[in-house]
Amino acid sequence: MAKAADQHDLGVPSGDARADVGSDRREFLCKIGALASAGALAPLVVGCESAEVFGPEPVAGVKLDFDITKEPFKPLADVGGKAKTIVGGTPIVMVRTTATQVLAFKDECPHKQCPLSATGSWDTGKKQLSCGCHGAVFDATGKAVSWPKDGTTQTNLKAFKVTFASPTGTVQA
Amino acid sequence: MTALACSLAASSAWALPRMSLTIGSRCSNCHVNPQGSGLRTDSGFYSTAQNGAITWEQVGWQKFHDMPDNQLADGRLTVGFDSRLQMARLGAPHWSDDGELVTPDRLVIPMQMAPALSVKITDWLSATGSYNVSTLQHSYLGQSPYDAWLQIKTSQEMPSLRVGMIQPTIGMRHDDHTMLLRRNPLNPGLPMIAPNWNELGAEVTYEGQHWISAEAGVFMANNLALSDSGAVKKGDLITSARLTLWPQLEDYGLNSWIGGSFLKAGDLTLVGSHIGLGKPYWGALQAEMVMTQTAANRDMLSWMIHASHPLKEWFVLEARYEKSTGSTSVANSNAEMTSLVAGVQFIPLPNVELRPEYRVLTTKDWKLAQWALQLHLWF
Ligand code: FES
Repeated sequence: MAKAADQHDLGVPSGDARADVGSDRREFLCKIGALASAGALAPLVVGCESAEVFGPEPVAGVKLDFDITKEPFKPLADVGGKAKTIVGGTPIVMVRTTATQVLAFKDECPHKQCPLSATGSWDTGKKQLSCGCHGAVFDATGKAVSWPKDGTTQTNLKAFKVTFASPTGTVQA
Repeated sequence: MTALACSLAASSAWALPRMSLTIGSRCSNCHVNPQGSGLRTDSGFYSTAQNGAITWEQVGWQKFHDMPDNQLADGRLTVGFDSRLQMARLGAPHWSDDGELVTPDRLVIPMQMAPALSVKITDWLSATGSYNVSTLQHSYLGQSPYDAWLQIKTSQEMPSLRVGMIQPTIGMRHDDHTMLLRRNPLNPGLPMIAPNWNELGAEVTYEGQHWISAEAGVFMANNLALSDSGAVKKGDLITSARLTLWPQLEDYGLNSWIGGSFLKAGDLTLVGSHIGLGKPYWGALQAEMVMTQTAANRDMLSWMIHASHPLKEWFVLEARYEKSTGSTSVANSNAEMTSLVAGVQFIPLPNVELRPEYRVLTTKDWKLAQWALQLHLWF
């Protein structure tokens, strides 16, 4: 442990020198004062918080006809395929789950809003949609069956009504 | 010289690129990992042990204040610990199913609780590892809970080799996972490269001359295949390289770096560049750019500019602006994110860092302005 001497040689203040500097009581009190004023500023900063979503507020009850032979619904031609669309201002992810079924969910994972059209994958065996962002899993009705253990509230995924007779159908927001 | 350099850098014990710029020294002077981050060398430990608005001596912890290093068994063992908590609103503002605007809740997230150990087996062989316990509660897809490697280093002048679970060296290692440089604007919720990303592989590091450093590595993709599954598959080969020049303008007391990085993994190609300028007691200015492309025509470009200025060694002002754009022909979509962060690195006591920040994150679909707080404790 000859380091203290080495560091002194290198121009680094020794332990004693530091103690002298630190023992200035007035400086110490000033620092405490500075901390207290910084704390007093905190509510001001909190007041600067804001959240905005661009675009109009979603409207419920709007219907959209789709055709899986046409873009952007062509991926629904295959089981497991996903397509994304917007109905009444709500982003929607559609999934072809079986030869005769298409499901539609809000294209926003309720955990941290990852777009399920990009991160979601449909498990045809378990009939579940999992979000690739942090692993939330939803059943065919949108019920959350698995949720990340990070203290956030488990929330179901909004599902929308779909009628489908290949190759066309209707989704209702 | 190392001890002096690190002493000047003591305004933060974080593996911050700005510290290296301010003092003109390598990350490896203060950290066991040549990329910086995590376990400190004895010099790194010493340099932070007395830096704080109030010292441990002033609160009566004389023993802790006087501790000369973080080594045991005649320097054969180096021990350390890093813990980080973040209090922030994570996620995006959105409409609820009832048509209400929802602001994400403010959460306290343990980002890191990582004990670390390095064992000097012989003069040229060492083993180092750490385990991030907090990943048991919260982790990102592709985040590695641990790193562990064997290092062969015969002398400072010769290249060294690391083999094990390590992070391929690209760009600068920022221990702040909110930065856009490694995120995907097409999917803001999921980092393209996870925080504490590590892969199994080997990397050679050369730091033999003061004006140049170089790294090159080969790895097997596992974690990157989770965080960027669209481009990388499990078992894909990752090759990475980084070259940095370190010009020092001694007449002006200025340190700088300029360099570039390359990474290829599966369908993903990444090219990056970094440039910075710093001066002791004055601060640092740095910029970094990352460009990625995949075979499926997903293009992304992210860049940031970062300025820091120490008012005191224990009170550093900092601000950064970042922008990230991405497009993909598959889903025929494009996206953009910008981030403005202004904050302070405040060290009330040695080994305790508080980082209050004001963050404004904007995408094409939403905007969130919030204050956030990070707490970092280390040994
Ligand atoms: S955003 Fe989907 S699991 Fe986190």
